[in-house]
Amino acid sequence: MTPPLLTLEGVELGVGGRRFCENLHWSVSPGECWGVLGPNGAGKSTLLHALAGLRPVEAGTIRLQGTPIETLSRRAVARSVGILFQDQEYPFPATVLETVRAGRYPHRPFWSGESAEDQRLALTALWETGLEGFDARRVESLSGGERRRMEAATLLVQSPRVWLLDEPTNHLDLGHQIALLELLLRKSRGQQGAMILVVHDINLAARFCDRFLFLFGSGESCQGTGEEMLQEALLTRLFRHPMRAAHFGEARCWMPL
Amino acid sequence: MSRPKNKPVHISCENSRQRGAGTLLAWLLLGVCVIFGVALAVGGAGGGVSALWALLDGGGDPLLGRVIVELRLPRVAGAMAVGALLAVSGVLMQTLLRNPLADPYVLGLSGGASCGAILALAAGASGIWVDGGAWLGALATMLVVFGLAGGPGGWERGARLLLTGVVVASGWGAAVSFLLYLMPDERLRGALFWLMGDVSRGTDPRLALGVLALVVGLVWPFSRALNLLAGGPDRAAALGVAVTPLRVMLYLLSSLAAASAVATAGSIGFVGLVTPHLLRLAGCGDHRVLLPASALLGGGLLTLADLLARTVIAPRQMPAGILTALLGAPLFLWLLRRSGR
Repeated sequence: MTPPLLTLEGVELGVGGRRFCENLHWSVSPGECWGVLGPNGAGKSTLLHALAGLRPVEAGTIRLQGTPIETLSRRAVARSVGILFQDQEYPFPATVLETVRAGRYPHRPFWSGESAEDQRLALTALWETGLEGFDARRVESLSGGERRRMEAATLLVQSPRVWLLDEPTNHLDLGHQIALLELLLRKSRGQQGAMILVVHDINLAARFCDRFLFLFGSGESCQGTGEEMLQEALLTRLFRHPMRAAHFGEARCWMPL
Repeated sequence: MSRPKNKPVHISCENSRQRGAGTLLAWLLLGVCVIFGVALAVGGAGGGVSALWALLDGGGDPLLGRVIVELRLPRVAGAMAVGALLAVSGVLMQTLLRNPLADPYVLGLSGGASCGAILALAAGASGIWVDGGAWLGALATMLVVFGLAGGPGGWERGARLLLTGVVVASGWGAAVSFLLYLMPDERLRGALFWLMGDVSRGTDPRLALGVLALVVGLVWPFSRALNLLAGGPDRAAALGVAVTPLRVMLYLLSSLAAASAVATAGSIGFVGLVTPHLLRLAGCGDHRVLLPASALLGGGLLTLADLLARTVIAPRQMPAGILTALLGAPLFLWLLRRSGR
């Protein structure tokens, strides 16, 4: 069995007196794709930020390939963990190519500039996300969906092993949602990585994720395989709204009543 | 993604971009050299390019030579250094606060430095202690502005930050007025200098030039990290930048740069705001180019302003700070209106 990429031991997470998870034990192994589901304000984004080492946990330890994440340098973490933020602002003018190429930063020595290889990787990532020809465009001139794909391209260029995606399908049309997730999943599997996905669309999550972590917003959490977790009663309790499964032959689709 | 099967074509625009940056820096350097020469050659005592040549040749009118070397050279070098310091400080603050409207003057740093210097003067201090007072004033202002406009996510709120800066600046203005009101008449003229922004005081420009070299030398290697920081602290951290130490360094160095500028030439507005903004508008967002280009453009602009300030109403002179504020205020309003859209 391959050693896990991420291990959480008794992690407690909260903001301003609110508890998002208590005593969370969780391990993420190569090849897995996890869906993190929960109501608004349940701490899904906070959890992703903690997994990327961007915020401390209140108790417990997060280990990245066996090493406590807070003892690693930012650069070392960034080589292994990449995150697609829920929202991203661009206060200063920059071109798409510059922004995407910045994903190579953790892989380059401090003193060196970008190499021809970085350039090639950035252009390839733009091509893969359907943004070829956008390299000289200004970020502020992009539409919401184009910007989202550019951010995904940055993540491709960073090419981490743990891919943390915070509502990656924001601003994307249906076709792009599925195409982007397929691309990211293929890339993460290609390098023996794992993907952790925060989404609100249960059907999208069910399509891509094989395991789930539910955060109830009260500090309670539970985890398991898709088979175990995608149950009417559990989802109803999670979203505090009655949920039903509809069957179309082999396929299953989740609907709020 | 669904896409045609042809391989991506990698046309490298990198070489042309690097050439573009090199051309920009070369033009700026040339412009600064021209302004430097003209500012040395022009003045009330006469001169002209011929006198400059004669001086370099080792001959010429000895009196004029002394005017150029002992009066004009420190003044011009001082203006260069102060303009460059303000512009670099502006770049650093804008990146640190992720706000293109931040600069030492707008955020009240210049006011704080002036107040610190005048307080030191009022206490009977002189020389290096006045400069120290200016630095402490700038540092304290930076703490207050960051502290009040800060908090979780607070640095991102442009309006709150600018409002804090404006309020702090007006507070310092009142404190300075109070000190000036209490000050004995014979010290008043010396204290007024801090308010006007004037490079004619004849301060030794070597300290300012040294600070400029120190700040640019320390910050420039971090240019790529600054590029990332401009996109937000979380994003920079996620891509491997050690954000907290970098921010502390930027905070200290931008305060040091602003305070040294104020200690040399008093409170000069808008150079720190307009210079980086113009360069960013010209598509120069990469800090590897932006930092040296800002230093050159800022130094050139302030030297030009000082040249105009001492020639336009000759034989009288006016403080360069009046001219930069007169030109900078409408430009700032225009930028504010543009960015509001």
